[in-house]
Amino acid sequence: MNVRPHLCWIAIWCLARGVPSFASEPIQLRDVTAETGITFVHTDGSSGNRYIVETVASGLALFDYDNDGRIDIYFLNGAPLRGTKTETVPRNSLWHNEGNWKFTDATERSGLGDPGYALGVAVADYDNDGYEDVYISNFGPNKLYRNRGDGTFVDVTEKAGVADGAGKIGAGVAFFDMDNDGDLDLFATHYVNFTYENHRAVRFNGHPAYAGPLDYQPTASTLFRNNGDGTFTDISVESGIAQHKGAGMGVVCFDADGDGDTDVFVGNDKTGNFLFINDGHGKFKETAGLAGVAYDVAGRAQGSMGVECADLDNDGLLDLFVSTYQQEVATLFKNQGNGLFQDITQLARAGDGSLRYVKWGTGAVDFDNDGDRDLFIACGHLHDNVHLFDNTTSYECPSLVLRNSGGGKFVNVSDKAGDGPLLKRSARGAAFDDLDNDGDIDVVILNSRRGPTLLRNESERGHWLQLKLVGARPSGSGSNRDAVGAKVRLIAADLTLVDEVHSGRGYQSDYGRRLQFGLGKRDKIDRVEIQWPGGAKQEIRDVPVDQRLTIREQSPRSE
Amino acid sequence: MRKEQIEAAQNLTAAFPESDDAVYLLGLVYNEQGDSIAAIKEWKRSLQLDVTRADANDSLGYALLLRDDYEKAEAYFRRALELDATLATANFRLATTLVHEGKMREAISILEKAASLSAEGHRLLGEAYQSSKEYEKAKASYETAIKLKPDLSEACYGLSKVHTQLGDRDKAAESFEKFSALKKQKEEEARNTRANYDTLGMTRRSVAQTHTDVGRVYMIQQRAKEAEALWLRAAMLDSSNALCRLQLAVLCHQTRRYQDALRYYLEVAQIDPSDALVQLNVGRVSVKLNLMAQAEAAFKKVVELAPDRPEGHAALAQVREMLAQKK
Repeated sequence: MNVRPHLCWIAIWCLARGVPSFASEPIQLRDVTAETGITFVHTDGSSGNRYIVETVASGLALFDYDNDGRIDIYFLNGAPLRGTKTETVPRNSLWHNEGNWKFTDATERSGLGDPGYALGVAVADYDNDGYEDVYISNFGPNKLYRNRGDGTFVDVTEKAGVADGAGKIGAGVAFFDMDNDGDLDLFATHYVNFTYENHRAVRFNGHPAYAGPLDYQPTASTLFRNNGDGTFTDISVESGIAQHKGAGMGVVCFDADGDGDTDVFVGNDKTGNFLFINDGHGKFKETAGLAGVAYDVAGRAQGSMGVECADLDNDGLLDLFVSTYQQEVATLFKNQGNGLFQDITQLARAGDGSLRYVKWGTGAVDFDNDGDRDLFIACGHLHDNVHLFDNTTSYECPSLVLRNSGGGKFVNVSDKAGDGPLLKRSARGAAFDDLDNDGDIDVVILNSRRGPTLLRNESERGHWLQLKLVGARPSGSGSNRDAVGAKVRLIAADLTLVDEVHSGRGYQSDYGRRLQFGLGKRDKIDRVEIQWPGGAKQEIRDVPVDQRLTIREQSPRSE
Repeated sequence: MRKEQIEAAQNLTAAFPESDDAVYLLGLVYNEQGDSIAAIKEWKRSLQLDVTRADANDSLGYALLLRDDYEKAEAYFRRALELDATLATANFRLATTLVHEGKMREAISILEKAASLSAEGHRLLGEAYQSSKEYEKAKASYETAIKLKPDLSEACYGLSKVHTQLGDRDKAAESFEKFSALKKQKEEEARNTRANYDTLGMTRRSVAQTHTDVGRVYMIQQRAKEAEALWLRAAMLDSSNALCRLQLAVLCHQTRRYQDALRYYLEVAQIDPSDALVQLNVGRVSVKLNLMAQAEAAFKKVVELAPDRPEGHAALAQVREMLAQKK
């Protein structure tokens, strides 16, 4: 009896306060940053000289560094560039998840407060000891930190041989088992060949601006083979990777052609993306052009930024989603099988609302657990003075949320999906995981030159399953401990979902080691099929819903 | 210089606040300087002054398209085409908007009905067919685009993708190879352009263009003095601006300042030697100045450039007759 007047009162209150009413939209993301206790503030190290490296910093990682079952946050940070004066040394920053949306600064005690100019990060258990290690790509030598298992990390870059040279602008990095030998290899992309000496000063309409990727020469990525003894060998040349140069940004590794080994997709800024197809033995062939993922539907090289890989139309194949520069829509490449893709952005309306913004971190996340993966895109311009020469857009922008209305068709619900996406920031990396272990995926965004944004998922929620896969290594000869590259197929009544375990994705970030499956109203899972990267297959039947499940590899292959 | 540009347009609207031309032009200048919010305001105002402006509807549509407002953009483009069905930009932009909206069938209909399509228009039609899985039609459209513009790399890319969909991997590879070569060349050109980017030169050209346009509105409003001053400034700012020189030449010609008129016509002829009408005027003004040899040379060029036009032949015959009489 009292419901109607009560609702009316809320509506009046919302109108009076100018607060939009979001009630009709199932996806709701609420800004809870202020209550988390996180005090990290990002710096791009800018001195006013407008070095290009400032524009692309930085990514972040979500992972459980102390195996306490809660997802922690690792923010990358810039460092003072030439001409910048600073009183305190900016460092990367690790925040321990205490539960209930409280985080404490674990940077000092963990030893992860690296002071380098950090751009990209990937997390994985490269030594198969059961603890997640961290690889950071820098403007300058990259860093590998080994997790000691006691909440602290040690810099093992020199011993491991993965510094990747000095003077490069690092970008997205990823661990993957290229030869399925049970240890994780490492792929490191680079941006452009920038040095302080070849810096270019640019002006737009008389206003100072940043140079772009075409103002510098492109660079090749680096591929390191894991020797299994804590060291790596640079095999970029013999693998075929080194002969392809681009302006690398995000990277994601997945089995693009369905042949059982892991391939590599690199988003390049204005130079055409790369798809390195793996022959399973450490040799790669670049096929992006003919595969249909190098350019958009019109053959234009986009300013690709973040890259995401997920089955967006539930056809059993992993598609690619790429965030892009202003005046280019974010692009959805549908996987057609056999290593071929098609840009179906417009038919799927997957880029709606994205033309005016520069787009960075992105994730394909089933926010409302209805069985269809939605899209999140973090936005923000790279020119802090863009309003002076182009007020179509702005330096600080809202985020975009595109709800999957089924079958891979999207609806732009950004202005209805809670107060979180409406926050205007100059975002870079974005990462997605269940921070409060309540069964839905939350969002963390690294914002350039300011504090991060944390969005709690308060969406209408269907049933769900979270899977943590553990490979059989180091015992026996099973898959890598993190199960990176493992493929999962879940069947629940009429719904079939697939996913793969990745390490390194989005915009120079890493997240989502626990796989999330939204099930909608289906309250029973018929079976979960796992194809481990080592080759073993495993099947579990009649799995209860709404739980976090750890599955250990049971049938490691014989030596 | 950008301040000078905006002031020129603002002064024009201050002088003629009821002139839709002046207001529309001010919108163009705001847009040129990156202030699309002010541009939208001025274009809407120009439509209040004259609801039949197809160009203002087209400009508004495009500004809104770039702001992801597809529905409003579509409405403005449709209105522009109602007012002027031959407005090629509105036609192409409407089709682009419809493609963005996933309305492939409507985009195809718009492009199929177009009186004439550029190479880029045929490419877009190919893209819409391709998205609609009408691969044979897509192939034909891409091929037409390439025929019209052999270096249109985007059409080669589309053709490659269509061949892939049709299962012809050899032809797909062949088209892709052509695309790659063109793409490489274009990327190299883009890098060179950026490396040699002349910000000041570009600004000078932009300001000169505005002064030329503002001058034309003054001229329409019978304010020749202001028009001439702006065209002179434009000519000084941009040595490659033919239009301001042509305006000056015509003005001097009409006001019987033949020496000046000849000088400006000759400058235009130097910028664009293929313009037969300019050569005709060089000849006519030369006659006025009794420069018969120069007139004969100019009329000869008219005949060379436009052999089918009778004016050149007649003028050449006439000047030769005059030369003969002199002898």
